[in-house]
Order: sequence, then structure tokens, then C-alpha cells
Amino acid sequence: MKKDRFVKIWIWVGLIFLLIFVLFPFYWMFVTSIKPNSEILSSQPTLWPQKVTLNHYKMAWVYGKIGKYFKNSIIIASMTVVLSLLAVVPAAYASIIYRSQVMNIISSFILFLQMFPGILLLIPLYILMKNYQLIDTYTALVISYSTFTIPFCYLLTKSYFEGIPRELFEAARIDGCSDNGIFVKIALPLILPGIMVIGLFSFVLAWCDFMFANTFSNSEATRTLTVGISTLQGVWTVEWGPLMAAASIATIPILIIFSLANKYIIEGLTAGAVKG
Amino acid sequence: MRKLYLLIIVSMVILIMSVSVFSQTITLQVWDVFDPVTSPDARAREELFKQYEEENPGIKIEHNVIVYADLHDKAVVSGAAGSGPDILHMLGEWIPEFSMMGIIEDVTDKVNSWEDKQYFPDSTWDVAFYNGHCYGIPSIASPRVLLYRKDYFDSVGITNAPTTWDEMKEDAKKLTRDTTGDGKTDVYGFAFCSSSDAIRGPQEFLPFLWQTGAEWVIKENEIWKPGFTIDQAQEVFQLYYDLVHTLNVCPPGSIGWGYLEMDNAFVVGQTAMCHNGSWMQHYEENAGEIFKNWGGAKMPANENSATYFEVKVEGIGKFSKNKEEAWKLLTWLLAKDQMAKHTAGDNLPSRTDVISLPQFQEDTFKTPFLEAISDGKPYPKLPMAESNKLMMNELQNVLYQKKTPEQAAQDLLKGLEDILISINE
Amino acid sequence: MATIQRIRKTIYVYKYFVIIFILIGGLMLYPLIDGFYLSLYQKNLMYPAKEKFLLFGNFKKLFFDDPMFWLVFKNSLIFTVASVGFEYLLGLSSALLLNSKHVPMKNFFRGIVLLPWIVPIAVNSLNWKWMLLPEYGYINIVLKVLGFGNLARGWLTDLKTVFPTVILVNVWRSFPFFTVVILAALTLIPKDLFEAAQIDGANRWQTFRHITFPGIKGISFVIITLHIVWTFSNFDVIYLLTGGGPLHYTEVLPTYLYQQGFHFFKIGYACSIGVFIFLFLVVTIGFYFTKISSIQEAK
Repeated sequence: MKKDRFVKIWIWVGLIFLLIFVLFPFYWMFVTSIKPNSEILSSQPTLWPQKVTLNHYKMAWVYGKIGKYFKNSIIIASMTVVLSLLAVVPAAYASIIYRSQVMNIISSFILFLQMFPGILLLIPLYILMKNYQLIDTYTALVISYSTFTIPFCYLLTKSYFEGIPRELFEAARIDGCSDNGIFVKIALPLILPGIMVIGLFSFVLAWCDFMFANTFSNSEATRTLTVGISTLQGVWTVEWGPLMAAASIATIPILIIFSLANKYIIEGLTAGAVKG
Repeated sequence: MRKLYLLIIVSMVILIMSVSVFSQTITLQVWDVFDPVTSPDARAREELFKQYEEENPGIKIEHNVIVYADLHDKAVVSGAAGSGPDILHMLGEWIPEFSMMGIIEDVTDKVNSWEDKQYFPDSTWDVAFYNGHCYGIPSIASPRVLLYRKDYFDSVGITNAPTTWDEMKEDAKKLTRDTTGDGKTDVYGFAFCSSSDAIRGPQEFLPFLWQTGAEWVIKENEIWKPGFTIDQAQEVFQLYYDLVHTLNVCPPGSIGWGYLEMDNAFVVGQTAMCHNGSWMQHYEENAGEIFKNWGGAKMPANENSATYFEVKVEGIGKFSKNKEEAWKLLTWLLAKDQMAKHTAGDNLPSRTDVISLPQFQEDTFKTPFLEAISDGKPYPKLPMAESNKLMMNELQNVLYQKKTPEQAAQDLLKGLEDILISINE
Repeated sequence: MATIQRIRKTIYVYKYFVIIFILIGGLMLYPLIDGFYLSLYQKNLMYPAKEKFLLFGNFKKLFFDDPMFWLVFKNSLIFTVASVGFEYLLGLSSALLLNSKHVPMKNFFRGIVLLPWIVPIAVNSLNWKWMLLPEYGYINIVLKVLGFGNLARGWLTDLKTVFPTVILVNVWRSFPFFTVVILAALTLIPKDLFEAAQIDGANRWQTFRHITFPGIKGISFVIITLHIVWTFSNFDVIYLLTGGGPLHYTEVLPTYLYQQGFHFFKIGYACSIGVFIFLFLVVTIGFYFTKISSIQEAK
């Protein structure tokens, strides 16, 4: 198995490079969040903290109300995921089952609408939201974000569905399954990794957005984490400590959620579904 | 599946309804930049808000903190859509553009009948007024000074801060040296901002221009005209060029720096001098030892002395539904006792009766700022966004050696003339 | 088919699109039309009374009178092509890597690779700006420690390195999306295809060419297209890193638009830039689509 070992070494080399490439800025971010200010603001910045402090985390959590903003972001992002999935998955399935010229036009239209730069949408969208009394509500952000995630998700899902061999559908139909049945029992489970990607994408877009969250929310009740963290830039100077601490607080839970979801959904899938 | 759809729609409706508040209380929205995580003054301000709420049941204050750049955009977007906060904190230079856009309230009558009006210097009211109308109350007013490292000055034998451009150049040259003995320069004499963001950069450029005796613009017969000659602009560009290229007193790679990089360089001790403001006192807590070595002085003069006088104005949003209540809150917040509490640390208050309090007079760090007020000039009273970008663009051209100072000066003048054409229309 | 049956079938099929239509129709059509409408006007938010109908005046100025436009357009093209190109390469390689059966702690690595993407760009850009500082920036310090001190410079202030640096940061923060999407597609390729190939004695490259790549071709096409659209109209990365400078070396169409609209308040002109971005993308992608579908039909 010499070939195997050779491959394994290269895989490890690749993984290490990948890790370093991805993580080196975060090393700095995390290390800064636990360094005392004297080390952050020194002319010989230390690559490894001489002294560790949790003060920045305390400041970010207590004064920065990170907990409250975190809750808002989770709610808004989750609702965006739900809305996007609901809107997109059945439609994408329908588009590959019932092919027609009209369907193609609709798909293209959904894509093309995306091409207008988001910043210009700010003022008219704000007017719309204001007229519907949606300023300072979760809804404003959820539907705005969904409007951006839907074209991406729609096309992606369509693509994943198209990857399923037609024979599986034919076989199920012969067995007497209805269209809905095929959808629920065969198509959906088969593209579960794809659904996860779409869910993740919608979540991240809603989580990370600043422009719309800043504009459509005025009060703390609906402020998102991203907006909250940005204020930690400090009024006159950048406060690296609390800023990096808040960023760390914001990121780690997402990582955990995704890893767990990945573990249970993907691993569960590859264990059995394809053979069906 | 259908049930799921229904469930989602119903829960969203409930959510919409639950967030809209039906109550008897008046909620005042305050949009400003004072963030309690990093600023003790901001914490004091929030305490004051709580106090006001206790003393005035039926009023609730919603404090929305956002940094200046984003605050500007938020005000513009919501204003363009016909809505906005009750109280808006603004940079003085936003007043011309916001009043022209029609998003801030004209409070001239309210101000003229306010008994505290006399305690604010005319120079600060000047910034809050535009075309004869007042758009808010100036809350913070502080000039810029030359901030320098007293210990570095001592090491190279300079006893006083420079008072002329030539002295400044000489001192910067002396201060640029190798302090660690490894053969490489690690301290530089002077640093400045020239970033395309055009935030701090123009605030340093304009004082240099003013110090040559010029103005940016002048108004003749209701028409705006450029206020400087090519020679005067050239002198300024030449100064920058000399600092960077002829004398090599600026940190490497510092062309195009913004305030983030420049302030950082000063705080870590890489630069010996820079133009800066009273917020640097903020580092008293954080930078500890280093802070004790900081000193301030009036900016070095040329033909005359001048410095940038920054005034921040708090106004009432045009689309506010509670203007009377907002005015009450504002006048309370900027009354003598309250102002003393929330401008104690990071910045200078505008009121003369507050600034004459011992906590300000006796604070040695603040002294040079107080002295520089008389030289302070605010931005010219017209929308400056395009002008600022023009200044920085030509400055970068000089620093990146794409144009000579003379060419840049010519283009600066031409560019300004073009901008003024549309403003004068 | 009888009309009623036709209508029935239409409803049956298109009822799934209802949410999409409501959201997109309700929320995007109005701003889009508003943007197009405003682009025909000379409108400045500071002088609301002085609105002037120009028809194509803004566009004429944009293409013929504005020295910035062509430079900015060129920058946009380079930025988009380079970013998406590298993102795809990096995404594909890392997806192939992470899909290998030799990778331990799969879920850990798949989670970690996401990090650049899930941290909000507002925080990321500040962090990068700070790391890229000359002399005292993390990157230059590490370079010095590793012995490459002569490479240390002001990455964002040196005219030669600023554009590549901005592209690098954009690629760094965006590639995880490619990784995740391609990885998902890879796990969907039936395992028996790989087994059959192995039995047939195919080597790595042949397996990739005939099994792996066709399996992800469809999805690759989709995400590359979407990312081209997204990167071309993306504003925040560059704006937060360099503001479009220095000397407009990193100015792209969206940052230029932003400056015109939100700093100079020339909203009419800004909308015309927006319309240009929109039309350019529609034409390019549309052209690309027709080419691809004619190739697919020819098969």
C-alpha cells in the first residue's frame, strides 16, 4: 500500500496548507482578543500573548449587548433559511419536472433580477418598508435577505436536482408513486447535502449582511450582531480588543452548528440513501 | 407540506404584529456615535438618558449607536425615504448637505429663544447655521493640534515644539532615527493622512492651506470662487512632498494612510509628531505609560496660524413626530451640568461655562487644545464631499510622484472650479 | 387540452412559485424600475427641486465624458475574472482534498474551511487592514521572522501590490463557498461509479476527467455564473479595504457608484452606472447561456 501512504502524505500536506491559509488571520484575531491593550498597542507586537486578559470579552458582552444582538441575528438568519428553502425547493423541483419554454424564461428572469447592484436598492426598498410599516421589524430583513438568497438557491437546487439520474424517478413512478411522493421520498433525501448548502448560504448571507441591517433597523430590539459589532470600531479610534472579542463570540457558535449539522445530516445520508 | 406553509405564514404574521408597539409612551430615537463599550463618555450619556426617562415618565429613549460613516449613510437613506430619527448627531460638515436635502429640522426660532444660547461661542453657532437658519445645537467643539512625543524631543535635544514649517521640517529630520541600534530607522518624524476615504486627510490639508494665507473658497456676490492661488496650493503640496521624499521623515508605506493607520503609528511610537484631536485622550486609560509622554502644541504656522476647528452638532430630524419632546431632551442633555458629565473624557465641550470648569482647565493634556481654539477655522460652508476627494486625489498624485506639486496645484484649482460650477447653479 | 385543464395544470405547476413571485415581484421590481427611471434624470439629492429629465444624458456622460469610467470598468473586469478564477481553483482543489477518504476528522476540517466566509466582512476587512500595515503589521512581522524581510511592504499603499492584495483578500473570504458547494456535489456522485473506475484500472487524472468533473460540471457552471454576477456588483470588500484608492487603482464600478450616489448625492448618475452594471451582466451572462445551451443541445 505504498501508493496509499504516498497519497496520505500529500493529503496531509494539502490539509496543512489549507489550514494555514484559512486560519492565519483568525489566529491574529483571536490572539488580539485576549491580549491586554499594552501588547496590542505596542511597537513590538507579540505573536503570542505575554499576558492573557478576558476583559475585552467582558466589555463586548456586557456593554456591547452582544447577547441580545446574537439572539436577533439567529432569529433573522433562521427565518431567512426557512423562507428561502420553502420558496425555492418545491419550485426548483417543479422546474425540472415540468420543463417548458416558460419555465426557462422564469428561471432566467430570476437570475437576471439579481444583477442590479444591491446598494441602489437601498433607498427604494426603504421606502417600501416604510410604507408597509416594516421598519425595525424582523420581517423587513428576512424578506430582503430572502430576495437575495432565492435566485442563488433556486439555481443551485435546480442544478442539484438535475444531477439525479432520471431512472430513479421512472422506477418510482412505475411503482405507483405520485409526483409529490417522488419529491418527498426520493428527490429530497437525495439532494440533502445540497439543501444543507443552500441553508448554509442563506444563513450566512443573512448573518453577515451589514448594509440592510444597518438601514432597516433603528432600535436595539432588532439590531443584528454584524451591526452591533461594527459599532465596536470605536468612535474615534479602533478598539481592536473588544472588536476581535465580539467577532470571536459571533463566529464560534456558527462553526459548531455547522459542524454538528454536517455530521448528522451528511454522514446519515451517505450511509444509506444512494442505494435506495 | 401544506400545513408547514401555513404554520410559517401564521408565525410570520404574529411576529410582525408582536414587534409593532401599541403604547402610550413616546419613544425618542437618538442616533449618534457614542458607543458605551469603548467610551466612558458614552456610558455617562446612557446614564443621563436613563435619568431623563426616570424624571420624565412617558418618555422612552432609544439609543442607536453607529459609526460616523454609516451614520451618514443611514441618515441619507432614511431621509430620502421620508423618515429619520428624532435626534441626530452630526459632523458640522454635514449641515450644508443635510439641510439642502431637507432631512434636518430648522430650529432657528427655538435656538434664538433659548436662554442657554449665550453660553455657546459664536464660532460654534456658525457651524450649526446655514443660510441664516440654525439646524441644531453644537455639542462638541475642539481644534486640532500638533501632537508629539515629549520623550523623543528630549532624546534629540529639542526643547520646544516647532512653531514654523521650517522648524517642523528640521525637527522631523532630527527625530527620524534608529533607536534600537539595529541599523534600521524605526522612529519617524511626522505622519499624516492621505487616504482616498478623505476623512481625516482634508482636515490636515486645509489647515496647511490656511496657513499659507489662503482660503479654500470665498464667496463674492453670492458666487463661490476658489480662495487660493496656484502658488499657495503648490506650497502645500511641496511641503507634503518634502516630508515624504526629500527629507524621508514619514514612515515607509504611509502614502494613502487613513486615520486608523496614522493614529496607530503614533500610539505605538513609530511617529514622533502628527496632527490630531482631543479624542487621543482616550488612550490615557489604555496606553498607560506611553500616554504620559504625549504633549500637544499649536500647529506650526506659515504666513499665519490656523487649525481645523471641529464642531459636532446635534439636531432634530425633519421627519420626527415628536419634535417638541426631542427639543426638550436635547436642551436638557446639553445643559451645563449634563454636558460636563458626558464630555469629560473623550472630547471638548462647546459651552464656555462648561469648558471653564476645573476638570477641563486643569487637565494638562487639554491645555494646548484650549489655546488653539482661537486659531480654529471650521470647514467652509458648502458641501465638501467632492472637494475632499479632489484634495486627496491630487495629494496622492504628488506623493506617488505622478504629478509635480505645480501640476497638482493647477489641477486642484481646475477641479475646484468644475465643482463650484454645479454648486453655483 | 381544454382551457380549464390548461389553467389547472398551470396552477398545479406554478403554485410552487408563488412565494418567489411575491417576494421578487413585490420587493425587487419596484426598486429596479425606480433605478432605471432615475437613471434617465439628472437628480441630486441635495437639490431636490432641480430635477432634470435627460433621457440618455447620464449615459452619454458616462461613456464619453467621464475619464474615470473606462478605468473603473477595466478594474471591475480584472477584479471579477481574477477573483472568480482563483476562487474556483481554490474551491475545487480544497473540495477534492476534503472529499478524500484519507482525511481525518472530516467534519472539523469542513467546518474550519468555512471561517473566512462566515465572519462579517466589516470585521474581516478591519483585521486585514491591520495585518497589512507596513512595519508593524502581522504579515510583515511574520515575513521578517521567516527570513523574507525584504518582501515586507505596505501592501495596501504600494501601487503595484494594492490590486493583487485586494483580490487575494476577496478570494480568501469567498472561496469557502465554492468549496462547500462543490463538496456537496461530490458527495452526490454515486460511489459505484468510482468503484467501477478503479476496477477498470483508471488512474487519478482519468477518474477526475471522466467521473468527477462531469458530476460537478453543472453545479460549477451555476456557481461560477452567480459569482461573476456577485463579484462584479460587489462593493463592500474593496470599499472597506481601500475605499477605491489609492489613486483609483482599486476603484470598481460599484464603489464608483457608491461615491457618486451616497457621497456626492448624484443619485441619477449613480443609477445610470447601476443600469450599466445590470445591462452588462445581463448581456454577458445571456450570451454565455445561449452558447452553453447550444453546446449542450449539439451533444
